[in-house]
Amino acid sequence: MIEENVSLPRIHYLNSHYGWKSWLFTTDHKRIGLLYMVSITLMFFLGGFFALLIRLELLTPQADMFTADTYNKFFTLHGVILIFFFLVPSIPATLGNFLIPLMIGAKDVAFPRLNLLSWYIFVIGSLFTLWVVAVGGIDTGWTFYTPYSTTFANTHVIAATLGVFFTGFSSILTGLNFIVTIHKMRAPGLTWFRLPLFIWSLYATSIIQVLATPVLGITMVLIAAERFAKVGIFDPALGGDPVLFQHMFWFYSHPAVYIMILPSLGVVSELISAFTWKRVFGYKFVAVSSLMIAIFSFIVWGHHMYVSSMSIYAGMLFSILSYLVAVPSAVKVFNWTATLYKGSVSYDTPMLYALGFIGLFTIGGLTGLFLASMGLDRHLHDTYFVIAHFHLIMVGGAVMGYFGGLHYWWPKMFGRMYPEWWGRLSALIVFVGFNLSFFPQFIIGYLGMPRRYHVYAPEFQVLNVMSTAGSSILGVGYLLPLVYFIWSLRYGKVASNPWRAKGLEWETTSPPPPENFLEQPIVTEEAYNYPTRPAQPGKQTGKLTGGLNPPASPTATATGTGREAEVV
Amino acid sequence: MGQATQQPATHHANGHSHAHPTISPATYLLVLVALVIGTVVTVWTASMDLGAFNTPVALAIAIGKAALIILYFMHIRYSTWLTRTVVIGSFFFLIVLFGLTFADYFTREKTHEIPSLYSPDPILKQQ
Repeated sequence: MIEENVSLPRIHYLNSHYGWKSWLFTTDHKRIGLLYMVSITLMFFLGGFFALLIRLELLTPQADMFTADTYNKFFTLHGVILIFFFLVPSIPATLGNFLIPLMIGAKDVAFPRLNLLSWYIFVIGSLFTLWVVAVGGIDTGWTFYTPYSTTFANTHVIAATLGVFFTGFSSILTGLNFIVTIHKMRAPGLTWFRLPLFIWSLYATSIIQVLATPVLGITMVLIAAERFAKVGIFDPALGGDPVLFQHMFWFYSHPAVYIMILPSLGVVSELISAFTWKRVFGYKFVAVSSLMIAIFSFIVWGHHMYVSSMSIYAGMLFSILSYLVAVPSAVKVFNWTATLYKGSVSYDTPMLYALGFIGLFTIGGLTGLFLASMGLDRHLHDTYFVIAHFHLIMVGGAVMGYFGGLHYWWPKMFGRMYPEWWGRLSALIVFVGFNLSFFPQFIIGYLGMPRRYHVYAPEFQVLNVMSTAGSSILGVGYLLPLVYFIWSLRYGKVASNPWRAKGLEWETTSPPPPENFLEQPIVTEEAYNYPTRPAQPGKQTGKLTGGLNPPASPTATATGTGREAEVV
Repeated sequence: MGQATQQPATHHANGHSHAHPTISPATYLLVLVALVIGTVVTVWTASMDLGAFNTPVALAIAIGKAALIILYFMHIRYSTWLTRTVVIGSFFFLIVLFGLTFADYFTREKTHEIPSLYSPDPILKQQ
C-alpha cells in the first residue's frame, strides 16, 4: 500500500448524521447513491439466483427440476429483475449519483429532493416485482411480447408491467437530474472538453433515459389497457397489430442496452487512464463517440424484428443503420488500446476488470454485427447465439464495468481499501467463469439450440454442462466482492487515493465531507493531465507489478491525493 | 397572439437572472380557441375518406395542436435556446420513432410481392 499515515477525516458524509431517518430522508447525493447500491445489490443476487436455477435445469436434456411453466417464470423473472432493477440503474444510479457532483466540483445534484424521490419510486417498482415473485411470477419473458402478454398469459402481467412502469419514472428523473446538473453546476473552469469521460458517458446515457423511457412507460400502460379493456392496439382481432408492440418496445429496449453499456464505457475510460497514468488517447473523439452511440442507439431497434413479419425493406434499412453503431464503439476500443500503448500499466483489480471488459465488449460487439445482418439473423434468431451475444454486452460489459468502477471508487466512498489480492482473484474468477458460461452458448446457438426451452436435444448436453459449470464459477466470483467489501468497511486499510489518480473527486477527503468540498474547486487543466510517472528502480512498466501502484515519489505527502508529488 | 410582458428579472443567489414572462389571458384564450377549432377539424376529417392522406392529415393537425400547447402553455416560446433545443431534440426522436415505424408499415405490402419469400413453395415458384 502506498499511502502511509492516512487517517479518516473527522467529519464525513457517513458520520455527519446518525439514525435511520438520516438515511431515509437524506438529500445527499452520496447517501442516495449508497441507498441505490444496497437496493440493486439485493436485486442482483435475486436475479442471479434465478439464473443459477435456469442453468441447473439445463444440466440435463430432460426436465428434471421444473415444469415448463416454472421454467418460463424463472427466466422471465431473471430477465425482468436483472434488466430493469439492476442493469439499468446500476452505474448511473449508484456510481453516477455518488460521483457526478464530486467529479464536476458541485455540492450536490441540481434537484436533491427529486433525487431521493427517484429512489423511492425505484423501491416501489421493485416491491411490485418482488410481490409478483412472491405470488407466483410471470411467464411472458422480459420482453412482454403481445399477443401472449395481452391475451393468453395467466400470470401477473399487469403487476409486473406496473413495476417496470414505476422504475421507468425513476430512470427518467435520474437522467433529467444529471442533465441539468452537468449543464448548470460545473466548477469554474470545467469546460465541456475538460470533463471526465465518465461524465460524458453519463450525459449521453441521461439523454437516452429521458427520451426513450417514456415510450416504454406508454407501452406498458397499453399492455395493461389491452388486457383490461380490450382496446385493440395490439390485438389483430380487434384491429390492432402485435408488430406495433415490438416497434414501441424496442424503441426503448434497444437504447436501454446503451443505458447499461455507456456508463460502463465511461468507467473503463477512467480506469484505463488511471492505471496507465496517461491521458486517454483521442479524448475528444472518445467523448463525442458517447453522444454518437446515444443517437445511433435510437435508429437500430428493427434489428430485433427481422423475423417478426416486419417489411423486408424496413429490415434492410435497420440492417444498414445497425452497422453504424460499430463506428463509435470501435473508436472507444481503439483509443483505449492506443492509450495502453507505452503506458505505465499497473494491473490492480479495477484494471483487471477494465481489461476483461475490453475483451468481452469487443467479442460481444462483433457478434452483434452477425445478428444485425438479416441473412445470418434468420439462422441465429432466438437461439443461444443471441443469449451469448447480449450476455457478453450486458454482463461482460455492463457488470464488468460496474465492478471495475466499484473497486476503483470504493476507497473514495468509504475511505478504506478492500483486500487487493482477493480483488484480483475475484476479477480473474469472474473472467474465467464468464467465458466458460457463455462461449459454449455461441456454439450451441449456432448449432441450432433455441432459447427459452428447458428440454433440448442430447447432443447439446456437453456444452450445456460447461456453461452451467461456468455460471457456478461466475457466481463465486460475484459473491467474493460482497464478502470482502463488507469486511473492508470495518477492517480495510484506511486509504484516501491509493491509485494517485487525477480528477476532482480525488481532490477532496475520502470519504468526502457532507458538501463534498470545503472550498469551491477551480479547474485550470484538462482531464487526465498525468505527469510522467516517476521511474522506479528495478521495475519495468507494462509488467505485473505485484503491488498496488508504484510508490509515491519522495516529495509526496501522506495527506491523500499525492498531487504534491506530481508537481515535478 | 404572442403578447407577453417581461417582468423584472429575478436575481438568484448564484448571480444568474431569469426573466419570467407573463402571458396575457387574451393569448391563452386565443390558443384555446385555436385548439378547439383544431379538435373540430380532427373530428371532421376523421369522418371523411381522404384515401392515402388520412394519416398525414390527422398527424398534421395533431402536430399543429401540440405545437400550440408546447409554445404557449408550456412557455417554450419564451424560454432559453437550451430549453428550445431540448424540445426540438425530443421532437426529432419522436419523428425517428414514427418515421422508421412507418418505413415498415408503408413497405409491408411490397414485401408480400416478393415470390421467393412468401409463396408456398419458393423453389418451385422460381423455376
